[in-house]
Amino acid sequence: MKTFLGIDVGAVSTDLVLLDENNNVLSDVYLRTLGQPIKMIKEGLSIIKKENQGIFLEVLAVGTTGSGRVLAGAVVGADVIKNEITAHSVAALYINPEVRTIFEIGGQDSKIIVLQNGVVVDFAMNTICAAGTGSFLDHQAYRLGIPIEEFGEYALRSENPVRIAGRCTVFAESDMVHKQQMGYKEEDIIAGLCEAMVRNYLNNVGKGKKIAPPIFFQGGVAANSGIKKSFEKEIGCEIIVPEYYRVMGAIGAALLAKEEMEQNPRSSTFYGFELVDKDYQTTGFECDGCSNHCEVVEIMIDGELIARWGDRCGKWSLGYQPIR
Amino acid sequence: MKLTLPRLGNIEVAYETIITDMGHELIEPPPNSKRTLDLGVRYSPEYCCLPLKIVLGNFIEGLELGAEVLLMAGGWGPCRFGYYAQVQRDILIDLGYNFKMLIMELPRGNWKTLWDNINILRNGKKWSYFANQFGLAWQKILLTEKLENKILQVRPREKKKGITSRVFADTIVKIKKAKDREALKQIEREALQQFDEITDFKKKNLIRVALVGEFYVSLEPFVNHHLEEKLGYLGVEVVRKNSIRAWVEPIVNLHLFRENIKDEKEIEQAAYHYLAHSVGGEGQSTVGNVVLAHQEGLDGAIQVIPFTCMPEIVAETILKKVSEDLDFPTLTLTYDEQTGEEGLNTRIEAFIDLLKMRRRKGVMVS
Repeated sequence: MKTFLGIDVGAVSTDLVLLDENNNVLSDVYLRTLGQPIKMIKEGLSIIKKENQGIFLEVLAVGTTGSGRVLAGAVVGADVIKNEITAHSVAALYINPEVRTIFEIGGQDSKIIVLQNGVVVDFAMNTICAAGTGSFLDHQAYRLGIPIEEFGEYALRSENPVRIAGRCTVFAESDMVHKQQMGYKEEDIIAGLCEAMVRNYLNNVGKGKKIAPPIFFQGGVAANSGIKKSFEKEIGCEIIVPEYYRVMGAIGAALLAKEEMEQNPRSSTFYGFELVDKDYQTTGFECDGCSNHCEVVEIMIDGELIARWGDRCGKWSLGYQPIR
Repeated sequence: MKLTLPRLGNIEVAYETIITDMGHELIEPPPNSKRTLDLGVRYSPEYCCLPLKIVLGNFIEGLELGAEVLLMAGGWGPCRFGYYAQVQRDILIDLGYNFKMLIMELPRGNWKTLWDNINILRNGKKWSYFANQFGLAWQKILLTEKLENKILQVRPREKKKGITSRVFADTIVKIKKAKDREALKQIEREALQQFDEITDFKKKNLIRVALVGEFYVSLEPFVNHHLEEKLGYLGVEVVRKNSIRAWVEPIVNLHLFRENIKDEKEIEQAAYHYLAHSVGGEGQSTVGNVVLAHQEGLDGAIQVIPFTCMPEIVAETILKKVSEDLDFPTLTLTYDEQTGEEGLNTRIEAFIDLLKMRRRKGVMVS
């Protein structure tokens, strides 16, 4: 079967998607990165292989995205390496070409993308604060001793959300502790947190942006029905959470890889599913060639150098022949 | 006298001509590095902007190498910069360093300090020689800037990745060593010829982006994480709107000739509809330059800001309206002491994708 593979390596999750020729999702995998992107990519690939046992999978193209896209691209031999803003837009536009706004909230960053007539016209990402992201919720859920998966349900049960400061995680936490000490109900506090996060997102990331329906909400945090409800309350229109909200970046990467192959036909540089059995090593060193002191990273398969980057001048990154 | 100065882009090409040739010993501060940043951040007030911190780091590294005199630009404005030198001097005194600080600034009323400072620099050399070397130093800066603007067009078209930066680095060394204006002309001819050789002229209709914003951040590659280079490698032609020339000429002209400041007038005029007066720093010219970039038919503009820079924050807010009115995409990048670059790469790649999509609607892959 002819297929296209998309990989999204984010700070919190590593997602893989396998599409067939008609862009149907054959497999989707969502794993926690846990600071080990290479291990998770291998694990994801073996899960995909297992799910499609007995079918011969011919991978025509591979795309990677997310903050770990360069590493992922080197590890699997990707044909396209694209930023996650473009990837998320492509995926959303494929599902609904009319989409005007995308809220994407992931583990470490959050974005808003504004589209017009199927073209990205504006975007923004959170800058120096992580207050409006998944990690914030993760952390608070941990503090309250509630599994993050149940966070949304708790919020939906609330009839009287309490107000919690949302600008800064540290202040949000002390605000929350104070409200707990005053005896407020757990679900009201959780609903308050969801509202605080939405307020923060709209005031920071969404500041000055034209938010028009249809609005897509994707990324890991879209699993949280409490956040979705708070968004709807704040904006006053329906928020659409697409079926594959968790892996939209990976879908976008796969679609981009497919488009690249249609534009510039060639055979894929994908190393194949066999790469899961190979031994990857990464090493790093500080170059002392000049005052920049670049931190150079090397990726090797079974002792053979496949990629090297991190230097400014190209002394290391250009001075080797990749085995392709 | 052992003398050191701060760094800014390639401005050090002129240092030997005005320092060594006057009989002083030039202590060249080491190129900006993580250590410079660490030193600057450690000893500066937390809320100060990055340029102050980096320059302070330059001075500390210069003092460690034995500098006795620090030469720093000052002024009344254009923003907090006007007080950098004084603040840095006090911090360094508190740290126990022994030095003298020469602040070169146009005075309000009392010209004696400036006169004295110039005489210290002149070091008893003939006035004609001093004036000549100063002129030569200025020519070196002008040539460097001219070539810097040129390589912004060459890099996205280079035949081999990285070659432009290497050729330019060699040229900088030559400019530094040049002894007279004739030599500079020769260097210019050679450099332009070399650039032509490494340019692939078949690459046309590239995406063109204006680089606007705060002066120091836009001109110092260490601070803006080599933004011009990154954009060049993405196949983007950058049009740099800030320059040392544009910064110095109006100040000198204002006091000596009171004319020939056409460029600045034009920028102010362009900004007028959105921002009718100065807000300090480059705030007004950032707005004006974006309007001009739109008129010049560029694809978009990138504004760079050091975190906590008030004039640029004012401009950033106004740019949203400008961008909407003119249907002209802008991206604002805020710089602070973080050295991770992935977030920066994501933003500029996505912005360039956006510009490409506007040109060729619907086609996402470059």
